[in-house]
Amino acid sequence: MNSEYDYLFKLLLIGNSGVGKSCLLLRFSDDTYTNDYISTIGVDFKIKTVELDGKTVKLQIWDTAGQERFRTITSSYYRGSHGIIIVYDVTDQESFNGVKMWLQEIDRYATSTVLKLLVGNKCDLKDKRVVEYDVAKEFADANKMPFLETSALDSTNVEDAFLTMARQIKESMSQQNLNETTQKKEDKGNVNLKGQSLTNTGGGCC
Amino acid sequence: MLSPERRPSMAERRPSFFSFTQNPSPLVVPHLAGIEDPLPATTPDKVDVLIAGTGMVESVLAAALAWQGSNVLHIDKNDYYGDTSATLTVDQIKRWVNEVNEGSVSCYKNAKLYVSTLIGSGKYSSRDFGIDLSPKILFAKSDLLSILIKSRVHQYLEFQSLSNFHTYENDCFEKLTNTKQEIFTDQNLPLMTKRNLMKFIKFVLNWEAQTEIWQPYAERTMSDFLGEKFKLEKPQVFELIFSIGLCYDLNVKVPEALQRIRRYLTSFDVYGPFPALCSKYGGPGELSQGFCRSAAVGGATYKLNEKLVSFNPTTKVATFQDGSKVEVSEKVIISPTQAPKDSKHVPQQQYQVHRLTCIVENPCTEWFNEGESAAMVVFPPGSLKSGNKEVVQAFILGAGSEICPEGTIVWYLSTTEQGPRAEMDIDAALEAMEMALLRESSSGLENDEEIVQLTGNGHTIVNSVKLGQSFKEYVPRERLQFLFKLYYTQYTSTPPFGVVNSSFFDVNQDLEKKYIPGASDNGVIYTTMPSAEISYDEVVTAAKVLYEKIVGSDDDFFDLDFEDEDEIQASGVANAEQFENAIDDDDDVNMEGSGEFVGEMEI
Repeated sequence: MNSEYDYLFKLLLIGNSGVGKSCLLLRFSDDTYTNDYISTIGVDFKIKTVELDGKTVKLQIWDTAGQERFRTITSSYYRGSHGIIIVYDVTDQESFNGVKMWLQEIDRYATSTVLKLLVGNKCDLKDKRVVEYDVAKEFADANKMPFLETSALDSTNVEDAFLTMARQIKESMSQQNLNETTQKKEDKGNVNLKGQSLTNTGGGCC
Repeated sequence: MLSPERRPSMAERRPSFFSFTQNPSPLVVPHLAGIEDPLPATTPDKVDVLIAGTGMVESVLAAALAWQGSNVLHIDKNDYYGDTSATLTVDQIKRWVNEVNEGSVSCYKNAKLYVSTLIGSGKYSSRDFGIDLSPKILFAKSDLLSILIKSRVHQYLEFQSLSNFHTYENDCFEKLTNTKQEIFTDQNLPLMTKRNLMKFIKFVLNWEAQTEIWQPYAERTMSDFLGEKFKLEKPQVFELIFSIGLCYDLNVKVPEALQRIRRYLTSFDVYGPFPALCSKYGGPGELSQGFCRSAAVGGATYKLNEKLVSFNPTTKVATFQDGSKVEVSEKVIISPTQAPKDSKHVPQQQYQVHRLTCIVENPCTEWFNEGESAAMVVFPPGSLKSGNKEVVQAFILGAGSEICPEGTIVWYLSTTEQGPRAEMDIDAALEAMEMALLRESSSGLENDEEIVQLTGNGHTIVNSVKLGQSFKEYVPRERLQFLFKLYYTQYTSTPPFGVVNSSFFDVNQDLEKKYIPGASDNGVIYTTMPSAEISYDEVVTAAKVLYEKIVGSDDDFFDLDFEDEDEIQASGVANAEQFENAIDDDDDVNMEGSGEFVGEMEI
């Protein structure tokens, strides 16, 4: 067991192109913001360790690598994920409409127990807002997922979004901990080609 | 040497890149390489390289090019990744079989499919299964494995060990004696045989330098060499050639066989006491997806459901079925299965690989080593009722590989035999496996009366046990429950040997330059179909041949290093080194200079 952390969670970001997934990720992981790019190239995943209720939680957060543009995200992207953050842009109706499609993708490729969070990004652009908070909240409630509005530009709620997700996963995991044997089995027999395998850690508790 | 026209790589385009004039490689790729270099949100109208087909070779090539700095558009006419290397669900297989029999998938013929109603409407769903069109195993010491690590694609994948290699002989499966330790402890082996085996193993690890030993046999067969030079008996000869070397027939030439045997031995104990690995959730289908993601991270654009219609080598414009066009400044690379209509340059695919994939409702755990869910069974020439001249290989994967549910198992059988004999050999191998399994498992299952047939032309699914003529033999007469049977013939231009010989992959030499009026594929380069080879060994060689054609040199093929390597690896424990190759390094066999074996064996 690795003593550096108590839990390791794999989180995914998903949503239409240009909604600011990478900006959210970079704001959260590096506390940086850049306006200089449109689509994601170069971002594979980032790791950030956070403290949660006295436990050290290592978050491994994956970005889409631009493969969302033509809906060509590889099915293996979803594998082993504990939580998925679905992002839309509050100034772009199309991106909110797209959330439904992404939920279908998740149903198809991710495990049924994966936890979801809806995030409306760019809430700093008050003049350009087209998706109202209440509409999105209602949609999120109907689909049984928490909802937050964020701004990667001014940092509003960014940390909250990731921590909400992490807390949710941690809670559901401690409920499932009775079922620990299943988790052990998942890891069994895997060979680490180089150091620690990042994809298969089932969030083993200390 | 680096070609003078070479474009700056992803790393060099970064402000944080410092040019190392003294030592230009490895390139250091910053973790956010390319992020300041935006791509448009629509299909680019100009790219450096267009690749059609997302099979293993094409995907490795796409990732290599993307990281080298080329602007890559990677498409596939299918709505899934993988092309000839795909891992498919049962429903996808049904569609694929239809397409093969309609003639819309080139390089495959004669597809026959039977699916039990237990899949779909029964206790299993189509998505419980991931069936590989060309299953592969990964040797622990291989060029692909180093690229998986260098490119970090291994982080997208999970691997399990494969240590069980059986040889089928005299109606039973012999477990392979494949390690020094086992050779020493195997009570059935006479002392002399042990000595001779050890002597050979010592030789083969460094065979190339010892020309005086093998050169006289260079044009003769491996069995002659092993028999005459090393005094090995048939069981050991067969084990070495077919189970360890995974060769295809007795005519295999000495250097080829030696290379293959060494591949196994040097892979042993790299990660533990096993020579090979299998990826979970599917084989090449998973790996190609991993390389595609890596290419995307490196800046490649991906589009599925996109079919190339034509390429004009004069204007350099490629046209797609949806009417969109792209200007390709360098090369167009196409998998033979993605060739446009009216193509006239597709290389001849003269070799057949016959494959039969079965799903059996039986965990077959007795065929696996503890903690593993994979095994390889080899049927050497002459071991089957059919009097087979070529080997039949059976690659077996259980539920632990996550390609099939608990209680089921997938058998991938294949042979390099050509023509109608091939199906007879595969039938015989299947029967042998069935019999072995029935002997081993006493639990009775109901005979299945629920086989669904997808008819010869693949259009109707009927609930019937009236199977196709050639499949009569496959009707389970006993208690074995077959959930799925898929038979097909695949065509390839790569012979089932010499998979590390790059000249086999340069199939375009003449075709490239020739202009045929009316052809839709003038000026394109074709990739090669997967060969019968069960390992991934051909992939990197094939991808490198293409890479060199595009970039001018393969010097910087995946020659990259990541700036944030330490950050990612900080918490990791590099454990590969703990298992430094035992066979390679330890010296408990006393060999004196000449290469002839002398000295005492300690047992």
